[in-house]
Amino acid sequence: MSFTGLSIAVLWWFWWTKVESADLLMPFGYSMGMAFQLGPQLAMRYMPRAIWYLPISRREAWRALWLFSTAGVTLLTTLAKATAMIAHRGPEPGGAARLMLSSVYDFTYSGIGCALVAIVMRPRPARGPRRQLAAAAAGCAEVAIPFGAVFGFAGIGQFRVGLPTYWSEFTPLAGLGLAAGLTVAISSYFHVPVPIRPVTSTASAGANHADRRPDRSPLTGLPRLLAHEYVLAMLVAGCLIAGSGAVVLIVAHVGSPSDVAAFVQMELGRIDGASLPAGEGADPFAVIVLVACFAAAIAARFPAMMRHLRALPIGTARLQTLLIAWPIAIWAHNWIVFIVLHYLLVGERVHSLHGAAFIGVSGISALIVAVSLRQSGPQQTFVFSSLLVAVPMLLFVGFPPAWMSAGGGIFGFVGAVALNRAALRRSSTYRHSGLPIAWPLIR
Amino acid sequence: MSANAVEIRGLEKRFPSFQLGPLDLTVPRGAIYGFVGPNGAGKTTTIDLVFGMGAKDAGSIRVLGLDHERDETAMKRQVAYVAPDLYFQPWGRVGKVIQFVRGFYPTWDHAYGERLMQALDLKADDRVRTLSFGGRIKLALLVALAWKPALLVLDEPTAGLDAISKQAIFSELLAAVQDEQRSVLISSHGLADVERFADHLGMIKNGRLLFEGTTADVIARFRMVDLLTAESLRVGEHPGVFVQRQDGRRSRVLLDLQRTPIERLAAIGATPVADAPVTLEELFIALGR
Repeated sequence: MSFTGLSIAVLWWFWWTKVESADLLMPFGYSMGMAFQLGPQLAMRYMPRAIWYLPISRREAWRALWLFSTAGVTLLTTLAKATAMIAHRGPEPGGAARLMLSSVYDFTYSGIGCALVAIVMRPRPARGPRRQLAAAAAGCAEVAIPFGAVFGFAGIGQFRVGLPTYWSEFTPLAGLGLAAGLTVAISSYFHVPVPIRPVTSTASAGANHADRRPDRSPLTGLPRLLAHEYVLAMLVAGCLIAGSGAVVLIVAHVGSPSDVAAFVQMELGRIDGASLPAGEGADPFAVIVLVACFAAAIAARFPAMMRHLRALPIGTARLQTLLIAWPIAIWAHNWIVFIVLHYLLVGERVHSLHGAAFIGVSGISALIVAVSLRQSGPQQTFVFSSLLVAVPMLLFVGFPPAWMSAGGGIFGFVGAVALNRAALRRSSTYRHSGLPIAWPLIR
Repeated sequence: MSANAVEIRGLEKRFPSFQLGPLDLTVPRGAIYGFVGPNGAGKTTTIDLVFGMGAKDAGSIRVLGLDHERDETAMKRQVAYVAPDLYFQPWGRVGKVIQFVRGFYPTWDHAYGERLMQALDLKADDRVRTLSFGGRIKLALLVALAWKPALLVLDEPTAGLDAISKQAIFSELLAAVQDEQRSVLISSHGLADVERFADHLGMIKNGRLLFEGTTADVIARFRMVDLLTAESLRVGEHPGVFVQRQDGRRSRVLLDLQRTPIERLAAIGATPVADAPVTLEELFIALGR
């Protein structure tokens, strides 16, 4: 409840500061992101399991939840925006129409989020190609849900997604898109959840011995954990970069392979000199790459696995090292990838390795991992979402000077070590779940 | 080599609304120790502290002769932990959990692991997230037993399990502890299971250990006694006397014979009219109130 109140207050403040701006795309996107976060992402993701045991049908439970996650949340965002607009300038001509359009977007976007939740919850056919298809769709939906709010907060404004902000700007194509979105949103209302069937209860009478046998790959223990989390980190970063890259290329009408190569070379060229402290010229793709790198660095599920890790023969010092070194390793990996790509595609070595910036981003990432170790699942979602919104701002206010980056990074490392040390000594650290990246929505 | 599998001395942990200890607890080597107590008594906190899930405020914990902090890794190489809230979901499949865990234990027995999978009705390609509650416990038990630990610590392993799953788990546990050098510390609400399974018992309430010893000694130490007393006599104020029911001059009390033998009741003005041995469940209810 307090989180919802805080979110609505932040939305109110954001609209209050942006209401005079001629460009309303960013406030519209921010409101959509907030609706998505409060509705499908939080209300549905953290829905108490007990709801399914209430003396109401699953259909009714889903519909009540859907109504809250779409209409209820839209009502909250609309109230916040309306009061912000009135508080700022008083009622103005056309204001109500714009407010209504923003609310339609909030409703549609959160409804699409509900559809994604429904896709994740849909039972899969027992076998055959339809099972693979359903599994792939559910996997995509699971990955998309955590990023739905972030795309609203930052992506819509940054990518200049062709969203009309006045009713008069609607083209037939935009109208068709909105109608399609509304159709998807409303059709998700008719979803009927089916309980997940435990595998073990149906397993095994005729199961053969071979499928009980786990493989004996040499990759096991701690190296396996690192490989496992590395795959997740690359998946998170890869999906963000590939997805946003595709949107950027389409929006920028970059189609031919040579144009794509030129685009990539241009982006890689930013590594040198004037590129990183980009100031005003930062383009959306650079923002997304930075966000993706941060997301990859903090996405490891160590906090959620902490109880099990603590029971294994891994010493406290090693756990501490793992928590600090992991973000450094992921950033180092990303740094090397960019430097190698620069060499291969631009044809020359980078002029600077940007060591101070590396220390800065690694230290901040380690600090965020340390903070999330002390948070429960919903709080971690907030930390994660806030980070993904806050980090791109670095590119707009300009990267800090080297001494500040390095100093901030060292401060981050020192803070992370102290926080981790304290968190590993707290009983509560081992009693809560972690960041909901690619998690099933209903366990 | 230490004669005890677990030695806890003067353990204290303070929370804003609860204090554990000072607690002394001893699990002899080769014992199956049932650690019982009402909800919120401090069982899970005690076990968590053994594994370093939280820091103790005072006291010492030695496991298999090793200090649980200084020799943490060496200790954990010999001690397995089973609890319902171990979170395996990020691994996706049962087989991947096994692949991950076995790397930590050179003594992992592949053949035994496969036999356990069969006995516990698990498959390598079962999805962790669709496992039932019982399935998740079985998985935790599998990765704990397959490397044949010297000490097995189970925190509420059977809470919420059906009779068939309990049977499967206990039969595997019993088979695993045939070797008398292997010790088990099991905290449970399932008193019937503990009574059948454990040869040592300890009961904790409000963070303090009420008693511990072999199951036979513990059961023999307590009697349920019917008394006739003067109405003004407050028999429950005497040490080791726990009033269960009082109806005028008649009382039913649980008597701790170590602290107040039956013969001493007459001296305080109470006349025993009947007495009977107690079951573990009666003991638990009487002391847990």
